[in-house]
Amino acid sequence: MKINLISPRGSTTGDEVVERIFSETKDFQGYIESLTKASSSGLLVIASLTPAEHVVRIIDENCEDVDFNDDCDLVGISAMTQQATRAYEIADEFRRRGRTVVMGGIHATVMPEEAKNHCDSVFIGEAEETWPVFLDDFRKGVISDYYRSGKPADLTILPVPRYDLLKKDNYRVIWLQTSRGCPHDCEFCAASRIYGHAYRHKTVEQVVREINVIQNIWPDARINFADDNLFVNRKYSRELVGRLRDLNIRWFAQTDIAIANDVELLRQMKSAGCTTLLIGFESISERNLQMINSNGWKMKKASTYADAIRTIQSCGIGVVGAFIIGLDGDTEEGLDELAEFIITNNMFMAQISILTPFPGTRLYDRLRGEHRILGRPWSDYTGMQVNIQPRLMSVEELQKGFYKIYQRIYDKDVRVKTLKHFKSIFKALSCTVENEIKNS
Amino acid sequence: MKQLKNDALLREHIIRTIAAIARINEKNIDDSVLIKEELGIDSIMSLEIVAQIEKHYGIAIDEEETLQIKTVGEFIDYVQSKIINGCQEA
Repeated sequence: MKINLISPRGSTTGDEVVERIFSETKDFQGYIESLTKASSSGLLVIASLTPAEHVVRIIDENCEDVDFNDDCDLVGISAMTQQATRAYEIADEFRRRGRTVVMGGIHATVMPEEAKNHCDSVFIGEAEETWPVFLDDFRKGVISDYYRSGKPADLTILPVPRYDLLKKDNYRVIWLQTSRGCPHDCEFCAASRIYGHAYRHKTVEQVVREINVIQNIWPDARINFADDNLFVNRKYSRELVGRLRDLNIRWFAQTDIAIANDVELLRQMKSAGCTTLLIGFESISERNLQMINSNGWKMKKASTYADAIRTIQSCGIGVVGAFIIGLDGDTEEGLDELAEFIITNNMFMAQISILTPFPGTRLYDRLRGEHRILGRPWSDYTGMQVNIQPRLMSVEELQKGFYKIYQRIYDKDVRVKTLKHFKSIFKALSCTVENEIKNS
Repeated sequence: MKQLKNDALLREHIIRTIAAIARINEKNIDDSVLIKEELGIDSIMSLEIVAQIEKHYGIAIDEEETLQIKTVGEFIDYVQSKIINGCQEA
């Protein structure tokens, strides 16, 4: 059987003004671009769970066109919310041509009935358990409308994702997932709806094996750990970081601010190739943080943000601060204060997202109840376009405030100031590197 | 002759520095290779390389000027010109 697994085209920003800001400042910030030219990992896992008797192709529509004349037997589509509109177009066209189409991923999981209108079967939740069942049903000619995962997947028994199916020249950054689940319960987060709050991880040996496979294909690969939080289990993290040091890779990960309390681990991470950490600060307003996180964990950390950034960056690791704007406590003045905070603290980079009511989240339910969701298409759910009626601002004020923050933090003089700051940090740390060069 | 030898040593040291900081095999680095697009060196790695070179040679490198440099060969030429012109660290 011939199976085509498709990742539909998804816009990076979906907004011409943002595209222009990024484009005009690309000499001063290459970071966002490096993230968007990355592989998607979910379909590689599905491919690895497919018996060898089948021929599997991965089609990343951000890199190549979909061939609707392809004589495949089965089409599998995985999509996030912002890709859903395009995913449905692709599904409809293949079905019109008589192909069987199945859909999975985060959007199909939270909107299964909507997805079912465009495909033959929908996968709800993790597909490790249900994909083999589906393939068996498909062989018998009796597929179900829905395949719902019954229990969290055991990551320790998963095979290596099929990185070999990616077209090598299309990717500079490879995403690798070591764990699933996040203990935090943030109102805006959809990932926990699929993965839950219980933290599960692969074994360190599995991760090393995956990196070896990646290095065989891309010898100088840059690895981005896709985990929502790579450092939940410190014992595991330390063991993993210890092994990464020997693999001679550069890598990026996502975590929370608590990492700043462990300077020893930060130093180990730096010497193991960590270049940057994305940290979900979300807001600098304690009032906003109280609303986001039901247990108040982030709110209690807000007063430590500046010191934490200084600690992490002094270890030679750049902080990419993830912030959300359009929260219920945000005002135009508050957005100005956020830009100032990013600049004053010499944050290496910031990822600003407009509060987006992704279906499946508590936020979606709340804003829907308050009639504050604007009803724009899923393709606008990029995090860079306003999809809600903000509480203390107008839609236009929020969108303009978003542009203004990026214009300020990507201003040439600001970037040069940040670059000088980092150069001074690296000069202070340079003895260690000098020794490594001498020993190489 | 001595100048040629010094040039070769400088080139070797810069490539070793790039390889060590960006964790790239030295064999994949030559003068024509694009720093950002082919070696995947982003701005934070570039700064670490610049800081290391500045400290090692006691020169001052302008961050804005380095943003315009595209290839490893251009960077080597740039560092060489700074050394020759005696652009000392402040």
